[in-house]
Amino acid sequence: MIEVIHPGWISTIQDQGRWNTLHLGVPIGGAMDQEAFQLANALLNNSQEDAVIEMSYIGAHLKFHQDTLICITGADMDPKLNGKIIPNNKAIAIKEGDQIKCSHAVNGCRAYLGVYGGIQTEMLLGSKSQAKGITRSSKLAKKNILPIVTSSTKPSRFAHIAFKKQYESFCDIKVYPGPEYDELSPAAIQALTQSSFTISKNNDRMAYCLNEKIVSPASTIWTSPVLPGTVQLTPDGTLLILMRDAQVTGGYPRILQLSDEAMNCLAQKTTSNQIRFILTPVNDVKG
Amino acid sequence: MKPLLPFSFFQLHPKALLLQWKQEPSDHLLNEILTVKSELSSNLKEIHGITQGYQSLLILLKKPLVSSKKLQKKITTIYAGINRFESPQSKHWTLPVCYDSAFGNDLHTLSKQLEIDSTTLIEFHSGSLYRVQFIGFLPGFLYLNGLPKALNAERKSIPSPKVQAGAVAIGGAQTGIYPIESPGGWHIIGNTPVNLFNPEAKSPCFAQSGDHVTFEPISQKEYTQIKKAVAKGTYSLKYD
Repeated sequence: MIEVIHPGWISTIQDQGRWNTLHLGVPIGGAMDQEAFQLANALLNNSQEDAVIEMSYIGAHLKFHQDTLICITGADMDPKLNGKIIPNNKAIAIKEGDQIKCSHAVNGCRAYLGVYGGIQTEMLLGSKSQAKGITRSSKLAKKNILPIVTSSTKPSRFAHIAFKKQYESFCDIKVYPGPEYDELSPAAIQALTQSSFTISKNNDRMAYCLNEKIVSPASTIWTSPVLPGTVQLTPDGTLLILMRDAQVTGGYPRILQLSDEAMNCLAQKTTSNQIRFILTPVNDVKG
Repeated sequence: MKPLLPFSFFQLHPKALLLQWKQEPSDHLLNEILTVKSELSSNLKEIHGITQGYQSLLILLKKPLVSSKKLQKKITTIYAGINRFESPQSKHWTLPVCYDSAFGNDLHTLSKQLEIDSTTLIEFHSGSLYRVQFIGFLPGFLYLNGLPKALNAERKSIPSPKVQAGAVAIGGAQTGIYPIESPGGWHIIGNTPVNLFNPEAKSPCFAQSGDHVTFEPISQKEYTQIKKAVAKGTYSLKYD
């Protein structure tokens, strides 16, 4: 098992999210950066759906009470194993009593700590992702005990990839037109596609609010389905990008939809980071 | 010959196809959407999940589509095979609500705003039959229509940061119940002691789209009794 000595700023258990309970109003949830989440599992030879710890802004301090393997992906949080720096994107052997301590995120803002066999917390509605109103707690807290599998079989070679994604340098994100995109004025479309937008301090796992506003008439709509990555235009012109923990329906016009790559990229961005929308027809996407 | 579809397609994402109806929401439209939803759920194996709105269905797919043409064709064929839009097998639930001012924080201000006394407001609210359109906003939050016109009220200009679980509220032309504590902009007129969402239950939410709901006024004493029974697991909600 893993003991949480300190959860850091905000750490949660995450996986691929809940897909079978949308009709009950349950948010999809899941790891914000699905690419980094999947990489952690891949390097541990885990199943693609195994649960990991998502750490945001400031990483956690953890103590391992059994031997295992871990792999940290995503943002660089300067992780240390018993005080010695360890690299990201590499499977690392852990002995009983070892401690992992992460600090502030640089180059991105979310790191993923995968563990051999995945975190074995409660599975609810098809997922282990912590979520308000679903799991008993919505985030990790001091003294939490996280069960993990005992691994007697060790891989002969420790998987790693020489990979360093420069999260900061990606600011162009690929988006598709949303259902209400056509209602925007030509000036609004120009502003949307040709200017930069800044992430406001109101950003979390539910939504990212942008600082710059769009002036455009847009009707309110009958409450309709939305997805993580749907960009809503609120009546005062604010752009709201829905993230993984977003509600499943909404009543604001849906002017854009982020691609999966854009969602993963945005998951590594935070307050005052800038983005530009690159509008792409949805049908040009390669399968 | 290609059958005429009452809805249009919009590909929102490589893994998401939207079916949009133009009609204003009505009982007939809801029956049609529910029939299509159930037919697609049982006949399209590529579906990962479906979300419903007043005038639309969003189909989420397991794999990205290079083009949605083939899937549109399949959906068109499935639609053409539907004989009629039957009202789905639905239940009528009676939900106990305590409208006491201890729970109905906004009852007083709302009755002033609507210019009806609070007794009449409660009579109107509990005397109406509501239909579950779909579930959204929060896990187990039922979008109910059927609110009498006299009770339609603009949402609060500043949402309350904390609305209690079980709060029964009015927002615009809708009424609803907050299943979990949440911020909210609707006017709170009462509270139900019933647990509206249990992620550990086989059916986490008691109702489904198409069901009907009425509210039954209860006293504070009954509220406490039901709350205790709910905690013990001995309470079951009435339906017919």
